[in-house]
Amino acid sequence: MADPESPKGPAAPLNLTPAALLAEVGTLGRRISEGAKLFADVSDADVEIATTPKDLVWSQDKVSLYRYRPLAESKGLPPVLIVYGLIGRYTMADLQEDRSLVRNLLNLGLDLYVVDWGNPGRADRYVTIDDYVDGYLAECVAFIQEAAGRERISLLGICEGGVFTTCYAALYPETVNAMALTITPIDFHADTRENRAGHGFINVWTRSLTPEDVDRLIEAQGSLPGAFMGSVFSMMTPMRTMTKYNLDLLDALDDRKKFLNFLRMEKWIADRPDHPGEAAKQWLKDLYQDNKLVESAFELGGRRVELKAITCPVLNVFAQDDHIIPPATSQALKDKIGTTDYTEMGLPGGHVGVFVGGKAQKLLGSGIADWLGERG
Amino acid sequence: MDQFDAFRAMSEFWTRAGTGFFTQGAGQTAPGFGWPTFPTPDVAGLATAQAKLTEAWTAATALSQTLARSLQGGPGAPDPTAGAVLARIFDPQAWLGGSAEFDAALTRMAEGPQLADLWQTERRYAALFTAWATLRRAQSEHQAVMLEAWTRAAGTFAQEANARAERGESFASAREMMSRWIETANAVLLEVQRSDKFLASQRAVLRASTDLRLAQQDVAAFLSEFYGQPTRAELDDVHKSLTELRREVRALRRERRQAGKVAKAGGSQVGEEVHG
Repeated sequence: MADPESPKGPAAPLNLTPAALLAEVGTLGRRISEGAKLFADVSDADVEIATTPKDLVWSQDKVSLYRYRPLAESKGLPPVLIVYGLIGRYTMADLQEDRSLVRNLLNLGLDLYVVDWGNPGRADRYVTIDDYVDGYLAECVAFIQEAAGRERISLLGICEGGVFTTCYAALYPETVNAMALTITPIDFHADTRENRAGHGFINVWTRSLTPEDVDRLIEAQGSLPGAFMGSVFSMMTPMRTMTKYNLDLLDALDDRKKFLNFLRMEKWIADRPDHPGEAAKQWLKDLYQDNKLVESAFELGGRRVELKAITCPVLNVFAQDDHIIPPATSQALKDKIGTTDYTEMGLPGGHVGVFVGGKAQKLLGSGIADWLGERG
Repeated sequence: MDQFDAFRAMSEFWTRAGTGFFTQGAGQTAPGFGWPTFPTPDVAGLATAQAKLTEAWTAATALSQTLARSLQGGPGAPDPTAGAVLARIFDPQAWLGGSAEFDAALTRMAEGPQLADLWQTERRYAALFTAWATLRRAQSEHQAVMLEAWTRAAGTFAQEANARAERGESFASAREMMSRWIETANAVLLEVQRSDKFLASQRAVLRASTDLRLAQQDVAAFLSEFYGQPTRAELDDVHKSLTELRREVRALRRERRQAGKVAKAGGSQVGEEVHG
């Protein structure tokens, strides 16, 4: 049962001073008590997220398109549409005022839109990625083209949303001025090339299932429940998950600002919509299991998504310590597209840290704005 | 009663209830219903899985208690708070809790509202019970894998701590000690999660919970039909039609928009020709 190398009997007493240990434990107790007071003082309004002002400009079914109000003089560049995925919500890009990709881009004079996929329910079981890319996303782009009086707009895809924009740019290259991708998987099997401990668990886990497992899961649930995906993410950082609400929280209790940051992140994590069933099947089977995107074998709306058809300039941003989307899975795009205007930007931090980490989020905003500025 | 006692008691209860339930002739007391031969649920498999879990649990608990006691400087340590905190840190149940979050997500998805026990639904309830027993067995087997991993991590940590003590070194603080434990445990867990054994047992839990959910839906559909209510399948049909109709509406709108653009472009071309 146990490892043969492990001790069979009781462990020997350790050379640790009991008094010192108890003093530390006592300090922990005091911090817990102080933290309880801090908890009581904080209201939900204190941890509002996605507060940058914006207006609803278009909606269809559960999908809404917003335009952010400008925060600086316009640079006259084509509008930029932010596209998040269906796992998590776009609010990550605008988590709080001092850690907001949205604000950083607006402050640099960009005209910014964001699509909100809403909260798909069981009634949306049959909505596919075809519907999201060839339907809703295409409609959003058409609206912005009309509103801005431009033939081409720029796309900023995040994670699964980056896959959507990649597919869109391949299917409708004539409408895309430039595309910035962030933490976007392209080669879903590239995790095997890096093999870093703790990285790419979702890839391994998904490949451990059979296509029939996925079909039956969706048949039973009607969707890929957000709570279920949340638990898979938790498994990727096992000890962090166990220490999150004790040791990590205690660390955050040192000052109010740190504590509020912690709570805002918790708020974003808790807001995890269900992924529509048929779209989830495509995501898990066609992409994670069969790796069709990188092989240009993925089909949407009856058309093959040919990566070579992407001719607009591409900026590919990845997180150097991304355990959810390992860098190699993103970087695989380089040799697959039909443009030589391809730029990679590796930022410090993990999957979410790129957007909220003190250093990375500043580099991300200015990096994207500068890159877009150079491409008119 | 701890988690395992509750688990064992539940298992025994279900085993007894199940044995009685499936005893030939039990159903014949109900007049007017032919009693078919039911599939025999694998309660023996469940009992085996429970026994293995007991073994793993006993080993892990003993090691956990030893670690916590050693780090307090012996059983006479005066502060019960310190004891509680340390016991919690080295509690193998937390590992089950970590994986139990995943299991709980599955369980929440699988365990819908309780349904009234109607005699006519007997066959469906039998399938439901089988699915429940299979899920519990799969969960027990998965927990045994996790406990084995915990025992390995705790053993590695204890060896390292002992080696330090022999060198006359000690942890500078309790926090340092905890950090080391977290680091050790994390490394073991990440390795275990990629093992075929872990992936297989977790896949078995996923499959079993899905089967349970489908068995529940089968009972619910039977009752819905009986009471003239729409079934899940009927609602799904409606939603499928709605999605397809929305798709068609979008396509028509796009065609109209394209036609408008073409007409506009054609109009301006005509105008140019006129002026040309």
